[in-house]
Amino acid sequence: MDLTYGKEHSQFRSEVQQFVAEHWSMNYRSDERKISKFRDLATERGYIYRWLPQVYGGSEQPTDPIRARIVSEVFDAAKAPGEIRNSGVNILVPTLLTHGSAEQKTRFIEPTIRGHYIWCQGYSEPGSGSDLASLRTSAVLDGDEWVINGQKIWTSHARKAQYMFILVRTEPDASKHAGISYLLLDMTSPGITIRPLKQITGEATFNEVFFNQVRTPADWIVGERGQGWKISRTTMKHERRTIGYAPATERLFDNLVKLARRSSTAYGPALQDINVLQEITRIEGYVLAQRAASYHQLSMAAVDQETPMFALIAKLLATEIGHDIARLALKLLSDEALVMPQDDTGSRPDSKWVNQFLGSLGVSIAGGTSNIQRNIIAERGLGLPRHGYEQSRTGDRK
Amino acid sequence: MRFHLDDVQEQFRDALSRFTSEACDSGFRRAYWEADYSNAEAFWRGLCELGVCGCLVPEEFGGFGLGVIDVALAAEVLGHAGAPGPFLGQQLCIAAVLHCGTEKQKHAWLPALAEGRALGTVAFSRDGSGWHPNSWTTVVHNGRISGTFTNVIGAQGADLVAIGLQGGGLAIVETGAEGVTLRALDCVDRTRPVWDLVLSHVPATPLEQPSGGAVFDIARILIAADACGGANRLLEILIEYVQIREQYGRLLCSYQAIRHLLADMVVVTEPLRPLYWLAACATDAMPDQAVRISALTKAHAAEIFMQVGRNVVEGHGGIGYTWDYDAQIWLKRAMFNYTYLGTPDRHRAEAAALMQ
Repeated sequence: MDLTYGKEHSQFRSEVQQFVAEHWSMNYRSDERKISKFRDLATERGYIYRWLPQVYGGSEQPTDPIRARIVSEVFDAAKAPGEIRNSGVNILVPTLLTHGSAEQKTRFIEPTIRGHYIWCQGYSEPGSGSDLASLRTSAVLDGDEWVINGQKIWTSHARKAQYMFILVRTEPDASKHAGISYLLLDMTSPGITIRPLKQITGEATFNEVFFNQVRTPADWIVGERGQGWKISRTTMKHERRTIGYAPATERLFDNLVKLARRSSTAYGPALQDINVLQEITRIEGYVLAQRAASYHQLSMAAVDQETPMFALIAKLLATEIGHDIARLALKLLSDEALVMPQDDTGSRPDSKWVNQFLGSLGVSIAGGTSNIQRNIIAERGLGLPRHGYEQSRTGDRK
Repeated sequence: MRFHLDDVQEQFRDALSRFTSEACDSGFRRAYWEADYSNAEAFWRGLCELGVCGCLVPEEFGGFGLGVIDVALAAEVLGHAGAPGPFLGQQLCIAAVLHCGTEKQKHAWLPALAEGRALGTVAFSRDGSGWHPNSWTTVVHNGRISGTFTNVIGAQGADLVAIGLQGGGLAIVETGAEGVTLRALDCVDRTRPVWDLVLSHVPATPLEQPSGGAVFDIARILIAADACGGANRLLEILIEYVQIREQYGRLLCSYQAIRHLLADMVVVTEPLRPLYWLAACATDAMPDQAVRISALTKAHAAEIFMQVGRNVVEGHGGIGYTWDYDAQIWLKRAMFNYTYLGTPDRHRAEAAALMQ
């Protein structure tokens, strides 16, 4: 085993560092034009959108997860803009690449990865959370248009998105999973009402979206009728993304240690309180284990091998570490935690930790709750039969 | 960057797994547990033939000159098998001579240890002074050592014992010498019994370098690797049971309480393998972080093994609580790993003290 990057990759790292030093400055951070220009250059040089064909605006590089990791490390360190990370780029683009029509790919992918098109995701409904496949928002084909009626909820960024990718029921007579289709939709279409939902953090990035006779072109369906469920699942399996949990957790943990450095407890400075030290190092054990697991995932991905169990546990592991960090942070924050974060954080530099405390709960819900993650691990990871009647010796099925 | 096993490592691990799954079956383990050691010698010879003792030893001294990672792979397999015998003490004695001995001392002891012709172990804590090299208190007076060394793994049968000295060095005593007495203890883990070793003016040969810290780090990594193997075995035992056992007309595995219990254990157990790999690699590749990483790794792995042991016994219901059901063997190995070398809080305290 070798944890160093080797000559070729070290060389690549210096090349990327030089590129960033030459073309990026922290002063550009709020300048949209400079950001786009940097992204274009980074794409041209083959540093970002490596996985995306050139015809759709990508840089189409040979698969090399280690190079990809180096790029994101170097870019992150300089706070330089890398690939856009929103649901359009993360979820819709890979879906279109696999299942979209030629027209859909040409029309939507490039503007999305350049940040011109913002997408929102129309999945959850008031009655369909964890049990997403029970969704009831319907679409009926009327001539060359779908007509959509119903309601979506927990829709992030619905107010600033130009488009939505949406799961709708198009085959009411088919079985639950086989009746769903995957459509694309212009958010300026008549009949759409958006109502903001305020979260426990006080912010409102969520929305309810109501559809009343909303029309979208018939050929804006991705894949065939009734394939929507399958299509939406294949994108969620984008397992390489799960490697990304580790660096985020490490950053959070480093910030926790910094918070501890400037905090006090009943025993004086927090870093002299043995309870705090024991808890920090206990959490660090998990952080270290997660880092080691991500090295292994990366190393296996580099030789084109999968690590399915690590991919399945990644979210729950990151969530649990986030909970532990939140609990310790609340103790370290002390009185700061009595006040909600203000827009002006200048006077209360630690107040963003209140949002981390609350946000850690959001992490355990969004994108499949922790209990659903446990179900998935038991079923797909451990292969445990769900019903347990099949082998019943007593034979009394209920 | 490469963080997965190479072909040779996989072959080594697989060969050991094949051997232990046959030779270390429930009957053998159980017999050893009840103090019937009749097949123990043959089992140990089998492990030696597969090369477990030669891993760390350089080729010039009759070994294979491999790394800590390779011994740790063996420790994981043996932990999974719940294998009894002198493996751990042997590796630590080898590590002591290797890291602290002069060339001459290495020539004197390593070849026999590498083949398993000689058996070795280590004794760190004198009169309960503590496991960590910083707390070793023994001093060699006129070439001799006296004192009671508590909880010495595999002391019976060992030819050599590396004794931890004040200042972090070690000295070798030969157990055939006059003045060596053993007191048997009813060890919680009967696969790896510990003894009190009483030395009264026993001749001792100090090893030259005071590198006990390196030996201690290897010890922690081997315990973590063992914990990884053991925790996975416990999970396998419960996973098998819940697919056979029915209550209320349904298999246990259909109950969400059981499924979630298992999922939660997998989430913490699965990363233990890359974690101990990382700690093993760190001893060579990241010398400035190796001590902290080995401390955090031992604490983390031992604690999780323990928790998995408790959950797995409970998950079985009554049968899990019986002497005759094998879950107890790994639960007690977990108790051993938790305490041997010091409980998790001690290793975390060390890691905290080294925090930048």
